[in-house]
Amino acid sequence: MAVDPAPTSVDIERRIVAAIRTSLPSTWRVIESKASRGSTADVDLELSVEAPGGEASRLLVEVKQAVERRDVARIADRLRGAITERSGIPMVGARYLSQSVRDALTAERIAYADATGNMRLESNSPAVFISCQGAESDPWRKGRPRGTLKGEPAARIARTLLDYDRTWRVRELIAVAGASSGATYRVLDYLQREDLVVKEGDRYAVTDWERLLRTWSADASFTTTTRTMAFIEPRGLDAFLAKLDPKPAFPVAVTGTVAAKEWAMYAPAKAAYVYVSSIQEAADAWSLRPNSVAPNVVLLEPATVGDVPFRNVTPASAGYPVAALAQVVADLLNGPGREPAEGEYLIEWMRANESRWRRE
Amino acid sequence: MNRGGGVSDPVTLARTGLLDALEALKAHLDALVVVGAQAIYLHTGAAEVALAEYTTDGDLAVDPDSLGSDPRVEAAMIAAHFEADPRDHAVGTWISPRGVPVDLMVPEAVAGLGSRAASVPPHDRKAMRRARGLEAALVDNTRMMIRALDVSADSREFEVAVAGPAALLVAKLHKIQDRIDQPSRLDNKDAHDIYRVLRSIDTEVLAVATHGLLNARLSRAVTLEALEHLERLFAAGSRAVGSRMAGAAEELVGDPATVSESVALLAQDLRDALNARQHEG
Repeated sequence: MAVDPAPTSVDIERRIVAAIRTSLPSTWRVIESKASRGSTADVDLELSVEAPGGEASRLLVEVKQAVERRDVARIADRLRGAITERSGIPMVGARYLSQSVRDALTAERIAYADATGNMRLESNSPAVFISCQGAESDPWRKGRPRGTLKGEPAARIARTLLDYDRTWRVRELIAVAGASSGATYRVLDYLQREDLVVKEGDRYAVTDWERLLRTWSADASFTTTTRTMAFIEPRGLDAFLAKLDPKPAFPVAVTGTVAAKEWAMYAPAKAAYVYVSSIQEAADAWSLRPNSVAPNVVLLEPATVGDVPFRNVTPASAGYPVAALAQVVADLLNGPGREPAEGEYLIEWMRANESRWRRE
Repeated sequence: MNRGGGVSDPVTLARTGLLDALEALKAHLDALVVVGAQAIYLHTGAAEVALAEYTTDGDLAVDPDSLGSDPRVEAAMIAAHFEADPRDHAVGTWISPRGVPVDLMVPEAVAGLGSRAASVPPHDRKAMRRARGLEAALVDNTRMMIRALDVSADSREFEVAVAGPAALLVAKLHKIQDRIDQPSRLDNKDAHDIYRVLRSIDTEVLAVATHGLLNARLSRAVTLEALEHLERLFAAGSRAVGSRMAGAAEELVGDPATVSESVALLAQDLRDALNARQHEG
């Protein structure tokens, strides 16, 4: 798809001003304080938003081509520093701001606007609230698309970083995660830009396991990484679980609500979600019958995440293999019905019991 | 002896009513077979289904061949302070001192002449009623110890025959079929009891017992009819009348769609297992 050339800083400023103007009634004024541009080292643009009654608020805007998630805290500090000298609302402008950067800016209470139309601006006096949705990817980005945590190498690295509470040399991470060295560096680079991993000396450390878990879960839903098939066990869930061998002949990992109760009971399960290496083999072994009307067993065959769901399984109290908690929660967050709520409940449990699910 | 004074929940009360009847008829225990929901729960106690076990009455099948003449059934029941339900259609229903209805039923094939009442002289014609489908209970049963649900409140116990799961299926299928033209919500529970039996008893075990019923002269005809009912009401699919009724019983408390799908599949399994057995001879 042909796109316009990437906007310059001046283009970005112009688009931001235009976007704010069109979001406000015509009786309001948005004035660019030209005098300020370049006059202070810490702010690129100063705008005054004036209500018809004369009430005005000042926006102090830092304009950049690109903003990485890891830059957000630094930019926020600088803008807040500028505000202590002159009152105003801190704002970041850029060519494009990703969802994760926008989320981080909102959490820092920094207004933002990008050249694709993403904008969030809040002011108490005069009272203004603007929230607009623009592009979901950078239309001007060249070369390799911006990273995500989709795919097998990312799954290997994310799960390893989540499952173990430690710092990593790259070669250790490569060995434990089982990813290639090139892919590991690419994933680590992305995780650093997203401020999910920091490098201290030659060791990498997770900054925030919860955000890593949520990000990976959002990027790599089991609905896209596995082939799934629904079945019914007419004698019910317990009869199905009783068929699961503690030492199965093929890889098995129970996930979802059934697995979750090994850590924290939320609600009785209505269906079992089970990773298997082959749906056909498992359905035969367990005499399951395909049923899409009222299934109580859903088999998941990994298609694009290798053997990651089977890594670090633990035995349930009843003996069958249960997926690692990080995997279980990632799957619940992507599950149907009340499962995302159950995922949130388990994340709370994980926060309070980190040593009980993260290995040394 | 403590006899369950102060019991309140209906299931516990229903068991007390059954114990009252067994005590009243203790001279005839060898002629009695416990049938109905209470017998089903004795076999399927472990079935973890959403719908709680629920019954408010007691059902006893009477084998006239084993029934002595002393005491007379009606005299024994009255002596134990049971009252006969005066309504015409309720012949054979006795109300216990605590208000629990207990039905005394004679399988139709051995109930003598008549339309509603069982003719088992010298007992009174209004003591017991005839019921089609219970023949299987006289063939397939095992002796079990019947106790109160709360033994600390009622220490009585009676060793008495309890109909086997296959016989209970036959009886329930006849009951559902008899009422299919005017189904009520209560009948959904009967269909759900079919699901309960099919789910908790191994298909092969049921097939062997049902095969035995087909080979016994007394129960062959009613069992053949029951299997026709099973096919049409359940095995025909999750949308068949019986499958839908079983599912409807779990509305608001469980998973109706899963129950309907499951009971149909389990009924098909039983049919297929029986067919395989018939072909083997």
